[in-house]
Amino acid sequence: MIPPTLGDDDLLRLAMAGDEEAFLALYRRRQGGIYRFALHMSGHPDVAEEVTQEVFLALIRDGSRYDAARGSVSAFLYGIARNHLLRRLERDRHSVPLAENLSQDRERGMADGFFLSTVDPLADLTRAEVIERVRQAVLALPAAYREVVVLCDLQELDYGQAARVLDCPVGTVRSRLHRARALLTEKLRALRQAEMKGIGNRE
Amino acid sequence: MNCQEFELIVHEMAREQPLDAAVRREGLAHVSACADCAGLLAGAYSLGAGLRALAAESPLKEAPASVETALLEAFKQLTRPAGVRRDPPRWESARWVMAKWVLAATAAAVLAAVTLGVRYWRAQRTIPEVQPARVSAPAAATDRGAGDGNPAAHLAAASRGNGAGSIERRGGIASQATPAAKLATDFLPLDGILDPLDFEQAELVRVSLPGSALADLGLPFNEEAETTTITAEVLIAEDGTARAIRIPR
Repeated sequence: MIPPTLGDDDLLRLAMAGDEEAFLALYRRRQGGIYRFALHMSGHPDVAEEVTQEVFLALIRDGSRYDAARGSVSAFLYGIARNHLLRRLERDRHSVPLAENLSQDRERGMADGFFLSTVDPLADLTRAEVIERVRQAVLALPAAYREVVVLCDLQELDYGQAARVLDCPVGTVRSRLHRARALLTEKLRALRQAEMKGIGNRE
Repeated sequence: MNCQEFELIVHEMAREQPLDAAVRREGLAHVSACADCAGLLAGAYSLGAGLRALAAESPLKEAPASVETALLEAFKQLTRPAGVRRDPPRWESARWVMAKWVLAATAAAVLAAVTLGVRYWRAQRTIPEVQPARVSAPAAATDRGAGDGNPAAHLAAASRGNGAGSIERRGGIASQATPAAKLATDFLPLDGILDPLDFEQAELVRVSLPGSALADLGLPFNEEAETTTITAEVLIAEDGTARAIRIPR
């Protein structure tokens, strides 16, 4: 019986020694986060399922490569998931509308006065509509911005953990996150503005 | 604080994230005097709320149970202790099966070639199993039966194994014939005519005959020879008939 207080490092060590129960405990503890990370990044449950399986298969094969000095087991798993996802997104680049051109977005937003507009992009929407709209806005971000939003805002990793997953300095995470949030706000406002224009035209 | 500086801290302010108290105060003071930045802060609050709603909805989502099952199976396969045979992955297994079939087919082909080669070699080098030699002696002679003095009849009797003589097949005449120096006679045709074609694909069979058979062949014969057994070589044509006979010395 594996004690629930056993840390990820110990579970991984036991799993690498062939302890099936330890592997199962580690999987059950971490699969949800990996699955949701992949789901938010891809927008497709089947991709999230495939990536989750690939991540833990990689752990079974190469778990001994984990180095505690370089980060947590969780960050190690997210890192593997990220690599799989980026390869997958690159492969599906032409079929998935991931992002519009960032600079064009920003220029258009500024010209239309959206960026500094006082329009609340999510006002008067039901909770389900808010969730769906934010989900679509996140999926429309370029991958480099999307991953920081998913890791820091949706998976609630701190900047240090995100930096280890993304293999970049903490400062880069901060700046990307700031930029990503600004882009999300712009996108949501643009959607809201277009919606209000549509209502006005009908009236 | 100006608008550009406020834009840098707006999301931290909206998310109640750790921010220097003095900077937060400056930000709030700027918002109270700037309508645009107040709208920006409202948008950041709204976005924060939307992201939290999305994050709150997500914890219910997990990988399906089939993933856990597949991973456990893979774990068992990949972490089996050393010395225990590991079942190969499906693609590896298929390749191995194909390789085994190729090996088996190659081994079978080699075995067949060796077997055929040995059989051919033995057919060339060893005395084949004795087969009944049909004798196409003159009709009158064949009807007389064993021991009536006709060598063809003796041959037939010998081939039937009735005790009148015995047959030892010697194979091809080229390699098995008795050297000329050891021959008492040349081939004597059994049916009157000896065609050169009879020697093609013919076999030479050594037989034992009663000495009285010499008289039937027109060879010198004495009373003593009648009770003795002589050895003769019979030429058996391809069609199995005895065509000629000769007596080694």
